[in-house]
Amino acid sequence: MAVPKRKISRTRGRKRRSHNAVTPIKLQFCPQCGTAKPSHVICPNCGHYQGRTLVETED
Amino acid sequence: MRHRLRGRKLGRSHSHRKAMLNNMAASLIRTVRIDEDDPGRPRTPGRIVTTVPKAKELRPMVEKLITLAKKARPHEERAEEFATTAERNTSEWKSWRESDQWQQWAAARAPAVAARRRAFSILRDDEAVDILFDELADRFIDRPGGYTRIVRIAARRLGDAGEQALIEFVGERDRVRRQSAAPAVVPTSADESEEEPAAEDQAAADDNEEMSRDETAPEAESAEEGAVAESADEETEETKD
Repeated sequence: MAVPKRKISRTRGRKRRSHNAVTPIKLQFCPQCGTAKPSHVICPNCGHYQGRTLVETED
Repeated sequence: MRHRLRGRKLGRSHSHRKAMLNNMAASLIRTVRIDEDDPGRPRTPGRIVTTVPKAKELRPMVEKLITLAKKARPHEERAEEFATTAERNTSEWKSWRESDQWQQWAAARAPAVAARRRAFSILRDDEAVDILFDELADRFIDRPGGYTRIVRIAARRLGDAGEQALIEFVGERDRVRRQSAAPAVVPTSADESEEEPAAEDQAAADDNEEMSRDETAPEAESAEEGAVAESADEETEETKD
């Protein structure tokens, strides 16, 4: 069975992973209730989207 | 190379995908007519929640069905003039059935019947076909396409964290048309003295929100607030210097 000849050093592994960082998504604020939410999405708190309420939330 | 290939496979075989989309179309159309007594009824009429790619695949399918139903409409109307109001199997009905008028009625109605059968071959659901031809065709008779909308939902699907969206028929909960902006209110000296302290507190928060507000809030109020925030910003800059 084919097997790696050498251990991958810490440096080498870390170098490989230097481009793997995940950037946090940019959040927008709901104009109705101010909740932070991803853009282009119905507000999870108040159901507001582009000037009207799309999902009725039970209060 | 996947040049010019249309459609998504959605991880299914052709027959599986076709069956799923047909079922989804029937489900979406059936939500239009809600039975109030049914405990498992959909919460909102004319809407289903699914994943974004599935919704995008479903959309052209459902819209083509509505177009089909709309095209059947003139034939049904033309058949109306040959129709009878008599009860089935009464003597009056029987004489109509044997007359030349029935022939004309059947001939005029034939394209509409064919359209209904085509719709049924896809939907496989009598109620859905009824809703499609009787309700949705009338509802969208003046609209040249674009009968559905897809809106993303923040919540991810449990299990595979799939992006969810709702797909619904337009006509309800539509975007309110943006009115022409109200004339800007000229702040008087009294207004300024009142608003300034609050504005300074808000200035930091307003900075963050300005992007989203610019897109979404055309009201005069927010415009005024934005102006105040701007003036507040200028002040803080001045104090820094």
